[in-house]
Order: sequence, then structure tokens, then C-alpha cells
Amino acid sequence: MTMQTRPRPPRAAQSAPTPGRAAWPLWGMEASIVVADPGLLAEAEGIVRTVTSSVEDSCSRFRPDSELARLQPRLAAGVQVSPMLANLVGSALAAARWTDGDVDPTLGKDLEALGYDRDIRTIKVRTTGIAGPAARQDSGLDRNEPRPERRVPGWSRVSVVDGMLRVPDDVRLDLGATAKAVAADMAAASVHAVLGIGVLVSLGGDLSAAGPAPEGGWQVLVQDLPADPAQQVTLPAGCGMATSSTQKRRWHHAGTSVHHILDPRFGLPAEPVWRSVTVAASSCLEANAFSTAAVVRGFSAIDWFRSRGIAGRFVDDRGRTVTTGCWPTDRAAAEGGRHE
Amino acid sequence: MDIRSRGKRLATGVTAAVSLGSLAVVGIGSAAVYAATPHGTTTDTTNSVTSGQGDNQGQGTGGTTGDNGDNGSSLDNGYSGVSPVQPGNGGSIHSRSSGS
Repeated sequence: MTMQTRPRPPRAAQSAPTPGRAAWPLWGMEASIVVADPGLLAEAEGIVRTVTSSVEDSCSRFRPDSELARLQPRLAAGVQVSPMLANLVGSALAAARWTDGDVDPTLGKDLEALGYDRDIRTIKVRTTGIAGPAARQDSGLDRNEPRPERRVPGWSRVSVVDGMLRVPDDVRLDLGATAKAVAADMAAASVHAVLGIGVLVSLGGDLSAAGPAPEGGWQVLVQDLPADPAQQVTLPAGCGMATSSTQKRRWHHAGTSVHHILDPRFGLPAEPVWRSVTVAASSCLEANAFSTAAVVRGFSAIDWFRSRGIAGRFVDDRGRTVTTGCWPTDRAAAEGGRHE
Repeated sequence: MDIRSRGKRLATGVTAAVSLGSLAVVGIGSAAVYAATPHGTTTDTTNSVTSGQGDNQGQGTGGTTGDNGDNGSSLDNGYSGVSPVQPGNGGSIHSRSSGS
């Protein structure tokens, strides 16, 4: 079967139509798309829904009928997996390499031990954010307690070669972070490939743009919680953006509030030095990998980003922002347009 | 055929491409799905443990021996160095980037 880009009927010269937007709940968050041609909005939504459904069928940690869950007993010996699952695992391992293991897809058991063993919607969630000195203990990592032993990075023991996936028996994959980003990239690329239009896909705030952008580029409001500092930026065609937050996807465990971004060294929530980190890159996967890793690295992420020219925006626990790489400063944003 | 029906039909096509496992050779599968991952990312990736990886405070060296021939690609670098973000132009907001 071959599907090719659908030819578009010629259109008389006219002003660009107002982009169309659709949104729906997905994985305990909101999925949305914006398309340059509103007449193709429903078709674009159908494509995005199909891609996200395929990703969920492939790697959900919470569904016993997902491919990953079904194959779990055989992974230690190695098993042939679908191209979709192989791609998702390969992308997760790539993210681990890029970040020197700060983004590790083998933290499934650690998340389960912290109580994140089912859909986040069914866990007692706390999203009021963090602030001030209480943040450290609030993270679930009490700095007064001796740290546990550092561990061998789990991701380095996983392989997928020619579709043959091998995962040690003591390791449980959790592809959640990177799979969402890959899904956004896949969905955007699929809409553009099938319908031949520009599209901006958002899966819980992880963005991927494919095809031509509207005149002036995609306008994105970067803001985590409503009280956080906001900034309007332009995301060019074909790029991605992701925000990692220590204020979202939180739940109570053992009498304390924990968040979902774990430090792979200890298998515990990373110290919440940053309320949020946003990265722009050439794909949503890249952006997600580096924004997540920045939360794990804490203060040292600033120098790391600057040395590599990564475009990032950090918001600390007092609401102050730091930018790196080519990320526009607040002043540049104000000069370029309205600053939220 | 109305828009929703056409959307469903196209979406079914995507599903078929994905489920057939022919992503590398058929139109939408190859063009859309794999193009969606960073340049050089393929399904074939090998990681091997390297000496001393366990005591490097989690900053693993990776030990990548990928058989996908992507050395030097963005897959290895992880950041293309492009200038992907610019100041906003004050126009209507299309979407929002926030944590989830």
C-alpha cells in the first residue's frame, strides 16, 4: 500500500485563511492541532488521533494489552517487535545518549515504586506548584537523608537491533516522556505528508510543527502554570518545542508530594531547581530530551546548554527566567512584538 | 463523502501503514512517521555497556555502537544548532508550550 500526498485543488489568490484549531483530552492532558487550512481540520484531527492511538497501543505502561506489556515476559531473551515499538525504543535510547543518560527510559520500576503505576488521572494529583525552601523536601528527595547508591544506567543494557528488542529481566521500560514527543513529531509529519498542509501539533504542551507555517511563523505562548512568567515566541516551520515541569504531574506518595521527572542516578524525583524548562529544537523529541535532562541536571544545565548552543528558557522557583542559546530574551521578545 | 469520513479513511490508511510494519517502504509510513524522528534515528540502535559506566554519576558515556551508520548525524549530537525560535510577533497565539 502506498499513500501519497493528497493533491490540493488550485486556489485563487486570496488572503490566507484563519488557521483552524481542534482540541481533545488525551493521556490525562490536552491534545490540540492547528492547521493552516481550516477546511482540512477534521481530516488532520483523524490522522493525529490515529498516530497517538498507535503509539499508545504500542508502548503504554498502563494497558496490559499494549505490545510492550504483552511482550514483557519475553524481552529478556529478545523478541521481534513492531516497527512502531522499535522506533519508540530507538528514539528513547537516542535521547539517553544525547543527554548522557539523564533521560533514561528504564525507570519503570522506580515510577511504580513511587506510586505512578497507573494512569495519572486516577492518582491523587497535586498541581499547585512549588515555591521557596519547601520545594526541596516537597520533591520527595529529602536532602538531609543519605542518598542511595548510584546505579548502573539501565538504558545502556537495552538494545534494539533489526527490530529485535532485548531488555534485561530486572528492567522495566517507561517510554512515556519520549513517546509523547515522538508521537507529536509523527503526527505533525503525517498530517503534512497526507494532506500537504502546515500543521502545529500539541500533545500536552509538547509541540511539533510540520509543513509551511502561517505568515510570521507559529505563535506560541510559553507558560507553565497561569501564575508563571509568560512569553510569546515564534516557532518556525519544521521545528519542535517542549516544556518539562516539576509543577505538573504530581501526586502524593508516602506522605509527601512527588513529581514525575526522576533523577536516574537515584530513581527519585529530581531536585526541583527549576519550575520549568522549555527547549526549542529541530524536533519535539530533541526538545523534550533536553528539557527533561535540564530538570535533572539542575543549575549545571545552564552552562551545559550554553556550551552546546541549545535554545532554552529556564524558570526558577522564584519565577525568574534565564535564557540560553538563541532563545529570545524578554526584551527581544518585547521589541519583536507583544510580550505577554 | 463528508470531511469526517474522509478523515477517518485517511487515518485508517495511516493505521494500516503502521500496523503492516512497512514504514520504511510505503508512502506515509516512511515519509511521515520516520521523518518525524530526528535525522538519523532508526529502529536499529545498539547500546553496550562501557567500562566505568557504573560509577560516573549517571553521566554515562553511552557506549553507542549503533549499526545504523549515523555517526556524526544529529542522532549523535542530539542538537542541530539551528536557530529554531524567534521573538513573538504579537499576533494571535496558535498554541501553548507548558509542562504536562
